[in-house]
Amino acid sequence: MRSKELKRQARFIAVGGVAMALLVTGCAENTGDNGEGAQEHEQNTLDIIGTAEDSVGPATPVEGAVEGGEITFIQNSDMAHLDPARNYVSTSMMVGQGLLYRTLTGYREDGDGSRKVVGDLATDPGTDVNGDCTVWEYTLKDGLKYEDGTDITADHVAYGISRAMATEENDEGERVPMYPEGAQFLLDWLDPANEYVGPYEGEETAPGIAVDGNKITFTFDSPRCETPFAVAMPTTAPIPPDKDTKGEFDQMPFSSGPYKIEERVFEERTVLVRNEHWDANTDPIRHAYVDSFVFEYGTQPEDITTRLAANASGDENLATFTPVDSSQLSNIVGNKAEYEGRYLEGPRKYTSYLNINMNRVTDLAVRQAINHAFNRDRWVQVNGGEYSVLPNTTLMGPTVPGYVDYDVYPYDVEKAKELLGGETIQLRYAHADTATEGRIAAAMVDEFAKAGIEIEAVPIDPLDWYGQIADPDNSFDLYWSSWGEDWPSGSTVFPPLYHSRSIPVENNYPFINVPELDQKIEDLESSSAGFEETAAQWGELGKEIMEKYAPVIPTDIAYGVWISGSNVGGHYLSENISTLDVTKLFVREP
Amino acid sequence: MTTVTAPDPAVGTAVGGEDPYLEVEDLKVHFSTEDGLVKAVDGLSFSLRRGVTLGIVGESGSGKSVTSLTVLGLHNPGKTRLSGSVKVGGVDIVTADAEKIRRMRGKDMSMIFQDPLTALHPYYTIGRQIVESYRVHHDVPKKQAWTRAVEMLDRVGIPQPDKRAKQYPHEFSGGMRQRAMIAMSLVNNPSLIIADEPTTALDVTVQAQILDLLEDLQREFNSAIILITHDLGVVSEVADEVLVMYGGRCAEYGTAQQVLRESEHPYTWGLLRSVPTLSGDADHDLHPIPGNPPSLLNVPNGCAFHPRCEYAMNAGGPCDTQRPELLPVVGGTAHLAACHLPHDKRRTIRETEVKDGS
Amino acid sequence: MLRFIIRRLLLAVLTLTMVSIITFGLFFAVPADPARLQCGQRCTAEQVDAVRANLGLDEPVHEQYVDFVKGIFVGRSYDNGTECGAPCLGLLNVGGREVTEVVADALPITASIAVGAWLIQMTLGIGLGAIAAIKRGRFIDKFAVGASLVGAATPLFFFGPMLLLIFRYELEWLPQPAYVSPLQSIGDWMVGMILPWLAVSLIGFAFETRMTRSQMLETLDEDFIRTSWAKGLRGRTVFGRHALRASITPIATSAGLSLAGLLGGAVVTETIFGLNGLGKRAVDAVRALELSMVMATVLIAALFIVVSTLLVDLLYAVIDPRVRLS
Repeated sequence: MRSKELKRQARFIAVGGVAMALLVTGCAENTGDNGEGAQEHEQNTLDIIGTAEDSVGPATPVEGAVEGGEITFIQNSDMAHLDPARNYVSTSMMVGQGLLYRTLTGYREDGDGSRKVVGDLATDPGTDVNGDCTVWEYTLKDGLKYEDGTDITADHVAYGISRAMATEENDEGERVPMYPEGAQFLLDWLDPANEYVGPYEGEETAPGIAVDGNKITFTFDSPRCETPFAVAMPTTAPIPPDKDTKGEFDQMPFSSGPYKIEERVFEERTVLVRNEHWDANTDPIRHAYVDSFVFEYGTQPEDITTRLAANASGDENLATFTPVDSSQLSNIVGNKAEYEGRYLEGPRKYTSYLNINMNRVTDLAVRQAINHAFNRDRWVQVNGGEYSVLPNTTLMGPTVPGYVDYDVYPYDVEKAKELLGGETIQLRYAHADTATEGRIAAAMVDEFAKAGIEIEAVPIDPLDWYGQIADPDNSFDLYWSSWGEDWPSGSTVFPPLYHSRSIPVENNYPFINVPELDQKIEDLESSSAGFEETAAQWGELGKEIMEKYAPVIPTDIAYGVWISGSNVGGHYLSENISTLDVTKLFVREP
Repeated sequence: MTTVTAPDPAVGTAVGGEDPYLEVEDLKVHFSTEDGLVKAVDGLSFSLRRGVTLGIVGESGSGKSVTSLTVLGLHNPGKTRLSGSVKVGGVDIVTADAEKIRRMRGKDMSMIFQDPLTALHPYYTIGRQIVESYRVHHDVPKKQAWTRAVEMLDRVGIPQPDKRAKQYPHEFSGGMRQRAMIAMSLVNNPSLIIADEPTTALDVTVQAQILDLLEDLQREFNSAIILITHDLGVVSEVADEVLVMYGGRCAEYGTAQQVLRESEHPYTWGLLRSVPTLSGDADHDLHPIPGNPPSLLNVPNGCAFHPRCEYAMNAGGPCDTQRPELLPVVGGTAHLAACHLPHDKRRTIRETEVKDGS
Repeated sequence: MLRFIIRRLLLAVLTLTMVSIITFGLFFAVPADPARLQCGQRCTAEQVDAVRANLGLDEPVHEQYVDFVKGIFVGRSYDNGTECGAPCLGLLNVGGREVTEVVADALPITASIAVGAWLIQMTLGIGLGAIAAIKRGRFIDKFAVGASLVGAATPLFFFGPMLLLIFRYELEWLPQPAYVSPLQSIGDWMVGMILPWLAVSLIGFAFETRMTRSQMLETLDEDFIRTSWAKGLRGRTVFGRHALRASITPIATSAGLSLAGLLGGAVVTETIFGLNGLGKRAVDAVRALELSMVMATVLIAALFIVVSTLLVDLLYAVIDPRVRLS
């Protein structure tokens, strides 16, 4: 197996190895309705794949938007990677795909809660040539230009994908990927045997790719009905071979989007200015209201929030991808009216779980009892309240089409005791050795005790967290992990989390290993029945897994609140990337 | 509290002929501390003419150093209560304003300190320190002051004075350093020199040289010298008059001859007996005074010396209840002592038990 | 003198070598794996290995150390074609930027904070400390003691944000602290640095005040001060030329070390005010397991300490004629 994705890297890096950024202190006012500024999405609609008409530019205008001005993003750290072959972290993807490069398909979010996969460079989300999802054809639009005014061609798209598959020889003579950090789905589908060495030392174009004029065709050896999503990943960004600067491309990618890089000093400052050759009429996704975007790095999350909240003179044009810091969350959501017009909140696509180590807790009844004994309200409360996390009882979150709402094991202490047969059990609960996590653990000790489950809370060095819990021989029974789907399909949720092949390299932290389940997952993965049909089946599979195996306690989905300076307009929560949508922003008074 | 009777005016005339340059009358120096009131000097009177050397003798804590600092006006004005008068060349230090005293300090009256290593600034050359002394009182160019400094170093017997002036105190030997200190003190031809234990830090041969130097200079400049010491040997060598202090008061006062040869106070006897002699057997001749000097916070009732006095008339006697007045000694001219012992008894004891110190 | 300097320089080299070896060793003693962090939690073992090889972390530790040291003196060239000229402190794992470049960007920021704050704290601290000692027990002394207590007891992580809240966000008297090169605009540089200077100097000021005061009090008790009074010198001469001059040795020591400490990176200040100086870079580097950056910041901080102690020792010889350097 070549490689896996790195979705979680954003949170992982931002907090120095503790993937706990969203676990917060304080207690937000628990309001059922999300008031002003909250964003409703048309969640779990199956009609997510758009049409050729949907793929025609320009993008639907943002109400009240005007052109001009400059917006400065303050961030704690720089974009991890900008090279499309390596870009796989939410904010980097938002900047990369929102501003700097286009891909074959993309997500059109019109600002009304709708989301559709549409053609971006391509004229439509893709043509399933044979109707069995094995051959997909894309035709490039006319009038697509790079930042230097030259034409974007299908060859360049093919080169970009092939380049992402490049390998090099290491000291031991093994071939290792040169750009291992990026999304690998399409690459694995094209070259499942992992034989292609890349365009630098091998064939110019990867196997399975054919280019004919402005058409590019992908041929897979098994049905890949979710290709429209897979080619929305940054890896399909076009790159002219003569502009491929390899390692340096990561810092200065060659732009095909509405902006180009004018200045870039890593971890210091990035300045983007308009790409005059970008034509809005070809682009159904992006706007370019702002003349320039500046990114400045080095401000701590709590200080970012303080500064934006203060909105002092000269700071009116500031924005950030960083959600409001937990320390100021209750203060800000409690005074939403003060932030009118510069406030945004909504659910994010990250779902969290307490994994039950099935290598140790082998009895289903015990796992069910643990689920019944879990007080989700208390969990939400100690995690910072409903402006930090929302309670969740499902394996596949509400941001995924096919979402099914179920609560297989509602909180019921008596039921838990009954399942345990009156016995008292001991469990080892691992948590990162931080104040917040310690507090959460203490609350869990209390809660589980009510059902006769004695929890031993074991703190773990945050830097070593994944090293410890990913070990199938670990000595813990309960531990947290989190997941966000790569695209809105159960196929990017269940295989990495519940298939036995994902032990230990993926996110199968409960170490569930059931051949019957593996088979079901594989069947759905290789189904040629089409997206809409399988989507619903993924949703049902989650419920079945909970009923039959109870490998985890679903705990919550993340919730985010953002604010910006008062002169920034067009706030929208991108459902695709789960952060502030940079393409819709404008300066109210440029 | 009784006060010391003012000494007979005749006392000051023991040596010399003109009016006294320094007149101290009923001087009291008290400072308040957290522990209580310290009566460092509690009613002290004496006078001194130019050309005369007064030795002030006593153990540490007897008030002798405080007296000398007060004469220079170097008491801490915020914390010290002064009464009585200290007239230097007719100016009363107790009442004069600070700036006036400062102008006199180092010029009319100057001080030679005990340890020239710590008393000289370690970071400045000897020459520079003397120049500074000179120029603060004389408005002259640096160069001229430097010439004067070298001259003074030459005068106090420092070889190659022009070179030595450019050196730092730590480059001098102990004796040379004290000579430099003396040069600095005398650079303005002061009329009154207070030498606080000037030879204590030096070895014996150098001690004698320094004392000789002081005597020479005194003759040359006709200065009045107060020599503060705990060493009766030094006093006997150079002092014309001697004042013995105990517990902040005068115990005995007279000419050197009177105090050293015809001592009338048991404390003075004690001091005399503690002086080593060259002739005697060291083991038998040394008799340190038993006990410790009194705390100035809490001076014993009666005679301050009575707890240590082997002749004290306690328990019904006056020594532990009544403070002895400083009275002229029977038969002595200008010889004062503060002791309750009858004169006859003192004489008997002195003649039978106390051998001459030298 | 020359021999002293040579010997101290050799000692400095030895110190820096030890510091670098210890840092290197500690880095590898920590269980966290930079390759895994860099690669992310979903990497396969092979991928982690690939990243590790890319970062050069697969070589034996001692070879990596030798490479690092060699880079400083003769530069390094990397597999990906990057030529890193001497003094090469390595490349960042993330972003691949030359650490030397990062340091070159960060150093002026840290130096601006350090030197400015240092000048403020030394001027105010020595001034107030000396006056307090001279006016011992009076109002100004009580004020100085109180102020320095408050300064010492006020944590920077509280005081810094308070300054920001008041002067930046509430009153809006000052712009957001930011570094502008003084070569570009002295005015903007100062305006951008005022808050960090205030924040850093508060604690240093408290320390210098207390130290100067106690040192002055000690000196004022010295015999040579009594001598200078006895010479009839004016108060200001006694305090200034004699007392302060004699108190200057320990003050100079602490001044030198505090400047070196500040130059090593004002971690909390830089973090609070979002200034990408050395201190912040160091903390970020530790968090991100950026070995080269950690080494660079530790070595630079150590270098400042070593150089400043040497300079302070040389300064002793100038200040105090009794000191002989050998």
